[in-house]
Amino acid sequence: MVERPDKLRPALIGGALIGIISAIPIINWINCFCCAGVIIGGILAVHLYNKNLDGLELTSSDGVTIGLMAGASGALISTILTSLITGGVKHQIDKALEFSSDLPPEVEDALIRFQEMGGEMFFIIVGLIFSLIIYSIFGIIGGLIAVSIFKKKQIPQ
Amino acid sequence: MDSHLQDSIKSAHLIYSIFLSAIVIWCSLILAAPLLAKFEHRFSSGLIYFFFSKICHQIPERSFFILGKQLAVCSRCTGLYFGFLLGAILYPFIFKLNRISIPSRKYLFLACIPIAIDIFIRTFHIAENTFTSRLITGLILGATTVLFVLPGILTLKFNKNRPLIIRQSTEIYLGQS
Repeated sequence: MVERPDKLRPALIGGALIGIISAIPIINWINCFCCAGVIIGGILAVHLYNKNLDGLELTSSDGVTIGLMAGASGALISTILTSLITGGVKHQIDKALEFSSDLPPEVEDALIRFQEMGGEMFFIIVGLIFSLIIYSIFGIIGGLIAVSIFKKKQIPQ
Repeated sequence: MDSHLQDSIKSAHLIYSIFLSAIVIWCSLILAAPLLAKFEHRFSSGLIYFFFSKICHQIPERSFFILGKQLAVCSRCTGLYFGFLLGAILYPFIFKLNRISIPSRKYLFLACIPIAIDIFIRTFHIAENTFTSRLITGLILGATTVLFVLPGILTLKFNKNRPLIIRQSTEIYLGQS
């Protein structure tokens, strides 16, 4: 049986792109368009994997696995980078509260409750869980779109 | 009928049901946030708004409102997600679940054009886009995206059991070789 190429490396590269896009201010607005940055990262990861396939067939399970890995690693990288770039989670909460007039008042309530319930650590955990869920879903969508785009059409025998 | 083919059809229907349920839950959350806020469940509603704030700007002027409370995402994202739901509901009426057809990638790029124009005209102050234009362009892209995502999901289990056969017309026949 022919061994398939490593999935981790392309997934991490896709995840790094997702993390960078999601963490850099202004550029991260691309994620406000249906998580486009995460979808692009998932597509890139599958594209890199597809380049190493050497004639093997790209399957949808490849797309799901790599997209999931890229999305999950992207969530972790973006959480770390965001904390570094914006100067800590407390600063993020303060900033979110400062600009909360643009957000529904319920978000402000939730942020204040987060501060009361456990401060920074609670905010980090909830934020990371939400990012992991969202980025994994959109990473998978990106991976599946990439499979549909890059899959070679087989000629019937 | 070949028992393997029957199994494949069954699993395709199961996978489709799970997929559709997940999208229904996602879209329900978008509607649940304002309803929970209206009935004073502020923390649970806030959590949903916070969840969606990671993927949407949630600017009130660009969002739909229900009972005086804004939806969890803006009008364009509402169009995208509900378009995705609409596409997923209509999919089995247009394509058979056991005879998957992957459209040419050009349709995905074509579906991006209306939304790109809508964003372009606003960014360069040529004209102001409207709730309707944002909703409709979102619906078009959301519904088209299903055609590229669902085939991959439907063939997930199948990939592990037997190789896919893709015809020249880019149709995949589950359970046949």
